Formats: sequence, C-alpha cells, structure tokens
Amino acid sequence: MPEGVASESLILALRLGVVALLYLFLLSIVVLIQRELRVEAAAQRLQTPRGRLIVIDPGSSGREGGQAIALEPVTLVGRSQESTLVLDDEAVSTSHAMLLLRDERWWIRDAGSTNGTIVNGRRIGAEMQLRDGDELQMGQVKLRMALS
Amino acid sequence: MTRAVRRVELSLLLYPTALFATTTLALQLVRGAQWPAANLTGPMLFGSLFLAVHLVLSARLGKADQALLPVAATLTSLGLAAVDRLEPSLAPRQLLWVAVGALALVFVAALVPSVAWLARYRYTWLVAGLLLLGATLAFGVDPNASGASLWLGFGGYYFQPSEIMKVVIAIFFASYLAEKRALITHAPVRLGRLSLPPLAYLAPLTVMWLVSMGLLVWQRDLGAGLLFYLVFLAMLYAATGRTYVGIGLAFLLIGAIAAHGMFDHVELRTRVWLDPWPYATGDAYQIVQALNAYAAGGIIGSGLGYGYPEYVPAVHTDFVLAALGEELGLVGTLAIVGLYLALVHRAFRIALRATGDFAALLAAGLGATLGLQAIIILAGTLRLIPITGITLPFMSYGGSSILVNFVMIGLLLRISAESPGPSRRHD
Repeated sequence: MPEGVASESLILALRLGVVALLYLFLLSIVVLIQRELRVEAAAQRLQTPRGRLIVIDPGSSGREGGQAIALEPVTLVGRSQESTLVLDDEAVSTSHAMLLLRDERWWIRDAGSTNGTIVNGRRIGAEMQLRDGDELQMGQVKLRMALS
Repeated sequence: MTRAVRRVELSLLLYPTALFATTTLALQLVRGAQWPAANLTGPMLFGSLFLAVHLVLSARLGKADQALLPVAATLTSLGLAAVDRLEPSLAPRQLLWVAVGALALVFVAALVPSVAWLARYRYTWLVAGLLLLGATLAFGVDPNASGASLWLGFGGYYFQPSEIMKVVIAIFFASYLAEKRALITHAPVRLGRLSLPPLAYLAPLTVMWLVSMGLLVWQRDLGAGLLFYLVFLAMLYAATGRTYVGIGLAFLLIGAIAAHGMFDHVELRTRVWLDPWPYATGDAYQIVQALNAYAAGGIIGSGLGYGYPEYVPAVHTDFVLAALGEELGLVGTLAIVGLYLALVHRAFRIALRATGDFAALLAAGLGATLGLQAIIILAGTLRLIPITGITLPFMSYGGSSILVNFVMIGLLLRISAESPGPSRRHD
C-alpha cells in the first residue's frame, strides 16, 4: 500500500475519532446527569416530611372545604396557573407566597402579594417557620398547616 | 484533609486528553508528517496538567462537582486544537496560558479561605477592578490592531482588565443582592401594571453598572458592555424571582438605539448585521467570510486542516467557531454548543445546591457569564445578532480570557465543595 493512502485513511479515522470522542463525552455527561437526578429523586421521596394544607375556607378559589393539598419542597402559591398551588381567589396575588422545606422544617415567605400573607391572624413580614396547626390566610382563602 | 476518590472526574478527563491527541496527530499528518514520528508532547503535557489538578482537587475538595473540570477541559482542548490549526506558532503560548489558568484554578479552589471571604472584601475587588479598567483609558494598548485599546502590557505580555471585571462583577452583584434581597423583592415600586425594583436599594448597583458601561462605551468594548448588562439582569432575576427582565430589556433596547445614533461603530455593526452583502469586501468582510466558512463546512465539515479558515479575520480569537464550523462541520459545532450547555447546567446545579444566598447567586452569576458570553459570540459569528467582539470561553486564543475562565471554574468548584451533598441531609 502506498504511503499516501495509508496516511489518508489514518487521517479519516482520526477525523471520525474527533467526532466520536466529542459525542461520547457528551453522552457520558448526560448519563451522569440522569443518574444524579434519579438519586436525588429517590432521596427526596425518602426524606420529605409530609406537609399538607387543609382548606378551611375556600373563599372564591373554587376549592372544597376540608380538602388536603400535599406540599412540594418548594410550593409557590398564587392565582397564576403556573403556581404549584393555584388559588384562583380574586384577592390572591398572581404569585402570592412561597412555602419552602429547609432543614426538614416548613417555612413561608410572602412573594410580594398585594393583600399580604396572614399567619395566625398576623401579617408576616420576613420569612417565618410554620408549625403544625398554624392557620394561613391568603386573600379570602383560609388554610391549616398539617404535618405528619 | 481526607482524600476522596473522584473516579467520575478522572475517567471523564480521559476524553479531552484523547481528543487533543487525536487533533494534534491529525494536524501533523495533514501537514505531511509520517505516522511513527508524530510529536505528542502537547497532549501529554495537557493530560498531566489536568491529572495534577484532579489530584489536588481529590486531596483538598473531595466533594466538589466532578463534571465541571472535564467539560472545561474538553472546551480547552478544542481551543488548543484550533490555535494549533490556525496559528501554530502561538500554540505553545496558549498551552502555557492554560497551565497558568490551571494553577489559578487550583489556587482559587483550594486556597481561598471561604466563599464568604470573597463577599467580605467586595469593595476591594470592585475598586481594584475599576482601577485596572480605568488604567486602560490612560495606558491601554492595542497589540493586535483590533481597533480598541483594551489591554495593559507588561514586557511583551498583554492583559485585558475587562476579563477580570467579569469575576469582580459576579462577586459584587452576588454579595450585594444577597444582602439586600429581601428589600429589593418585597418593596417594589409600582408603575401601573409594571413593578419596578425600589430604586434606592439598586442605586449602588446602578452606579457601578453605569461606571463600567461608561468605560466600555468609551473604550468601544461593546461585547463586554452587553455581557455585563445581561449578567446584571440574570442575577437580579435569580435573586428576586421578579421579572424585572422585561423592563431591563426595554432599557437595553433604548440604550442600543441611543448608541446607534451616537456612535459610528455601533451604527456600522448594525448596518452590516442587517445586510452584509453590499459591504462583503469592506466593512462586512469578517462576517461574510465567517458565514462562508460555516457554509463551506456543511454538515460533516472539511476535516481538520482541510478548510480555508485563514480568510476570516481574527479567526483564532473571537471567530474561532467559524474555523471549527468549517473543519468540523455542523456536527462539531452542535457538540460545542452541547458542551457549553453542560457547563451552564453544572454551574446552575451548583447554584441550586449552594449553602447561603451569596454562594448561590455567585454560582448563578458565573454560570450566566459563561453561558451568555458563549451565546453572544456564537450568535454574532452566525449573524443572529450584531457582532460584538468578545472571546469564546475556553476556546479563543488569549491569555486573560483563558486565565479568568479557569478562575471562574475554580470558584464554582469551591462553592460546590462547600455545599451539602444530598447524602448529608440527615445529619
């Protein structure tokens, strides 16, 4: 085989090698990310303390009284359809409040709502921790925090 | 210090090393070298360098993110391949800068006392950064005739202070927003249906932003000006979760229109962007040549060493993707876009898991800087947006850019090492 042809085919092989290496690398990154997500989802299922909100007074939100709503680790409450927990009450702001799970405790934080977030009769300023049985009011909707 | 086995990182680092060896070999064969005589010193140095960084990380920061360094190394290896292809005489110098960058990465990742320490001295960094930037007004030089004097020279080596400002701005914004977040989020000024951030709390940010923008406009460094502004918006959004972005983009548009009327070089860029063809041999030469290069590459490319990227001016710095687009084709460019996506993914993941608002915002800011910078220049060379001179992170030739990109990776690694992993949730 003449020298030139050997060199040509070697160059072609190297050229394919570059593309193959690039995509194999990207594939390993995707596999890694997928594995991470699976591990995290499993860890979350095991560890999330189950928090629920019980509807006491649905206001005009169309919810049913007594309904229990399970909380996500980050629950955004608001009138917007993009909220995790949609409360379609006219006095609830588009994005009203956020409930967060941190250090295995539930926290609530107002998201700049017009009418404020009221916990046990008091309008909250900064972030505050929620305990079992706390009563929340957003707009005309009244809810009770239930931990189990 | 416990030694952790960072097996994922080690195995992922094999790819960039093999990639650089492959491209080096291919280029040497194309240039007429014979197979057994091929010289693989560069890839071997590259491999040992990243192995050394890996070992330091294993010894000092066992819990740091394991995919970040390999992604950065892969982009770097493509950058080295591009410099070797386009300006072979500069290749050793670029490798030297990568080594300096790796040293800086290790320094930042392992020796910075804590992430919070960075926030404590934020005004120090800011003043130092602005002084350096201001110094380019008085002593700036333009070593490669780019039309803007953005460099400071020291005995044959040139340094670009606006690169350092990327890190300084991310640190400053992150620490300021972390401190004032509640105030900025909870007391918006309403203007009809729009909510504006309360201006008093944003004053220091605005002043800082105006100073850097002023310098950049004065210096004709449009790319950096655009990048700083977008990073500012991204971090404001990350800190407050409020969509000030709409108003921010409106301001950007007003600024762009004003700049268009006031500065000839902005007007020229826009004109050439809207319709380059009448100016194809003059003002639009660079962008037209870049488009030709992409087109010539097609889907699979001409193969490394077989294209004619030398027709694109500044091809080894800002337009490096045009060269790779020609020689590696769409297949190669898409992989590069994928690599930047992976980089941004790691940065945002680190931000989400970080302890404390400052660390989280800093990681988000660094991720946004790297991602937006890649988008601005990639879209610019493809004529999706007007071209603004800015380097492609990890790939463009240039010492300050490489150095600062590695410093950013060092900071991200440090932040991720200080974050609790999912396994620690139960302590």
